[in-house]
Amino acid sequence: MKRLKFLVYFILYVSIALPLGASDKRLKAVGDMSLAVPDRDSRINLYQWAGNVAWLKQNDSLNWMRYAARSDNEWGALHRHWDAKQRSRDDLLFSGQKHLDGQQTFYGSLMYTADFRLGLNRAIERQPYGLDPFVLADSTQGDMTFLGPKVNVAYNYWLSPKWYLGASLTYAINRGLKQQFTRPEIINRVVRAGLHAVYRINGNLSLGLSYGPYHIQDITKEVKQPDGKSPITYRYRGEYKFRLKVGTYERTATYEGFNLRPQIAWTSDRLNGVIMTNYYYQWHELFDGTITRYYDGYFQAEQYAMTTAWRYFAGMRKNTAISFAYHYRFTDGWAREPQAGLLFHRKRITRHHITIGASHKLYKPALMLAGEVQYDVRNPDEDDYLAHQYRKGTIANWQAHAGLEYALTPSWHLRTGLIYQEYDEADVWNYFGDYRGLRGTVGFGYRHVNWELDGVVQYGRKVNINDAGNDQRGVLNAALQFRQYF
Amino acid sequence: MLAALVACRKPMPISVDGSMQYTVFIQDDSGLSDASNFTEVNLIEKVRVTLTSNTYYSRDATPDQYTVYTDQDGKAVFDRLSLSSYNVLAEREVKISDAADGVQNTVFLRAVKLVNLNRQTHHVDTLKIGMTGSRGLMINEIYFCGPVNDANYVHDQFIELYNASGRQVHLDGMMFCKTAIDSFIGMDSVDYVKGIWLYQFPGQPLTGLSYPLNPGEFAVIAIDAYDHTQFIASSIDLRKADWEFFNPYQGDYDSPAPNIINIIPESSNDFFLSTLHGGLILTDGSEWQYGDYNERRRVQYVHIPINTVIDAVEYSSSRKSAKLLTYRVDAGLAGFGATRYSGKSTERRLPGFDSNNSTLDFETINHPTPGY
Repeated sequence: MKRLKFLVYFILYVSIALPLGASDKRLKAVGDMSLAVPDRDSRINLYQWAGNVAWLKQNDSLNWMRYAARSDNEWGALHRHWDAKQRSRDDLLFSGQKHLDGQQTFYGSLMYTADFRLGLNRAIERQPYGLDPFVLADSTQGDMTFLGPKVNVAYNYWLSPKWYLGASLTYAINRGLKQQFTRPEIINRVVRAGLHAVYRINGNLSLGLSYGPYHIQDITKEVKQPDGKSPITYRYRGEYKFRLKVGTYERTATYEGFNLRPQIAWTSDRLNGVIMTNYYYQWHELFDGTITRYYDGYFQAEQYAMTTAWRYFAGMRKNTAISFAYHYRFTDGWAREPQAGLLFHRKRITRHHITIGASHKLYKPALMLAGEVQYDVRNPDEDDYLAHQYRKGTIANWQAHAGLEYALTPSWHLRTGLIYQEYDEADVWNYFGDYRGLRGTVGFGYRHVNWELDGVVQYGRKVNINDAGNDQRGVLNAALQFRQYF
Repeated sequence: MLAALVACRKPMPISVDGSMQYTVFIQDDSGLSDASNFTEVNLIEKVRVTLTSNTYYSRDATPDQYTVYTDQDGKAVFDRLSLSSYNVLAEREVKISDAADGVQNTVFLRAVKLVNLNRQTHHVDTLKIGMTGSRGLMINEIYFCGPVNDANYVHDQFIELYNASGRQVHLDGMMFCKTAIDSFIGMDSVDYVKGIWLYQFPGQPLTGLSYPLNPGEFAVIAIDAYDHTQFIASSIDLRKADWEFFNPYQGDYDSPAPNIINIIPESSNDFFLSTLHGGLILTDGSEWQYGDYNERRRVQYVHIPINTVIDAVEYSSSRKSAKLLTYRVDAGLAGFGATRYSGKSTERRLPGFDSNNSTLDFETINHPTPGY
């Protein structure tokens, strides 16, 4: 009875306090692999690698429901100027997929997120290090909490043997509150839509196209303080210069844009691959006031990206998988001030990301071994005309992942892994500095006839190479997931 | 299809911010600077010219500031400026020897100006500098926002006067008036300023000689002249204030300091200053009359003829506040950044510094300085 009580409390605790989000708990537990391990949640096809909902039915033929909880935590002095000292993001997720008939498939998910940012340094917006140079800040360090749900639905219709269509919609709303001066309230609303199509040329080759417009709005309310003081906010244009605003107001930041993604997929017995190009366009406008709106700035960005991912199964039993992925992205963004329309900020970023991985499954003992190397290099090139700062320098990040999964019984699986990371940042950026990181993962999986349970815990630490004593950041993530098949 | 989708994208601007140039020629209007450096229009060198941005601040919350000295042609050039409004302050120290007794005196030549740089790349300007501080009695400091506190405490407000003239002035019968809390259409074209509440120094206006203020002296007028630190630690001790506002028509506490008394019996307020945005009018007290009555606010306005105004200062913690006072008595706003209960104060950059534009004349300081 005591054990049962403990189990009930443990599940309650995990579902409330320790939450999750995505569906890749097995991969997280095996050293947080992104590509090396073939899995239900790591298939190289148009749905999983290109986000094309028209391929939903072909991706997964089962009906299921998933309940998950996740908690991601990090703390320590190794962070950027506007980041929080400590952050804890907890998610509860419910999702499901249902094949309505032979032609239609439906997917839906509901996630509730609690994002606690403790000791947030001055910035009073969700993403101060986003693409745009507009940052709202105040003079205090304080705690900020974002709470809110996110709903995602996707529908796939198999029109003819060669044509597949899909549509998706995401709606999220978050409310953020800072507990210290200037006590702003931030309402964040996200609407994303997607229209998708796939044309199957033959059994191996398919062409896809996705179009995804979106609209994001952040409303920040600066109100009179409880002690009667007026709020004083800093409106940064770039990372160095700001304008001072005294008094109460409501500020609206709108992000609009779309992405267009043509895709090609190859599927065969041993080789699967996807090539996707992506054109992404975003514009961002700022306004003050509710009834009369005062224009406060404009930002525009374009991205050109190409992603390709391939996996080859070797061996008689296809128990060895060799995987490769490459991602290239070029971003070009600029911002102008509202008075005379002058350019005050420009940013260009070139990014290359390479992943190479392999896994091998042994049958006696029932062991799966995997290894993966990721190399990510960014070359930002930034002109801050107001501060007369021109910055250009490489930010390189490479990670080596190793992991294994041992089948204790046909139902029970134990997993573990290690991730080693080296982050090298040019001095001009002054964000994190150079650091090394080491994380370890442990997890388990239990398979029943029509349900499965997976759990994972990840713990690690990042340490600044030049100031190991003070500049560290710890990471502790935990997740639990239950999936039931129908 | 892509072309249709990106049709709304905007072209990147060609002109960049941070590339403006401001050139200013400094002209001596006093004739006191070294004559050997004079050109035909008295352009002078070695003048320190400082540009302070009213728009942009750096990460340490200080406004962007640039300093250049004029060259031998009296020219100062500022490069790489942002689209902004700037306060321009030009100053030079000049040594003058008295031929009779050989004593050397130091005087400051100063000039101040507000410039708005627009998107034009080059801006050329001329500034005349000369002696300042000869305008007589003026409001030198206004402490309106209250100390750092959570108890809505503002009783330590005060006003400081300064005699910037070279002669003794007499405060007899002078009046303080608060500006009306609404601006009104036509305020720049009528011959009066509109206010509420009138508090008067004792004595006969214009002719009285009982309450002198010597050249270079300050007079502190407290709302309540007692030690406020006993209530709020971060506040100030005003027991040594020279004067106190006192309203005999309400239960105002009368401290030992001499009183400036409310003369409108209908008004039951002490002379509290607005903690966000307001204005002060110092008049010679010779004339005033009742104006209109604001039904909504239940306020009786008074009209002060502009020709009786000795000094007037409008202040606000926000630079974008709508003006309450006509530019004819004050063209600017003092006190930017002195938010409610911040403990900050606003005072003239230098005692007696007066260009009739409080944006330029005043600066916000971190702590009040009564009497000094």
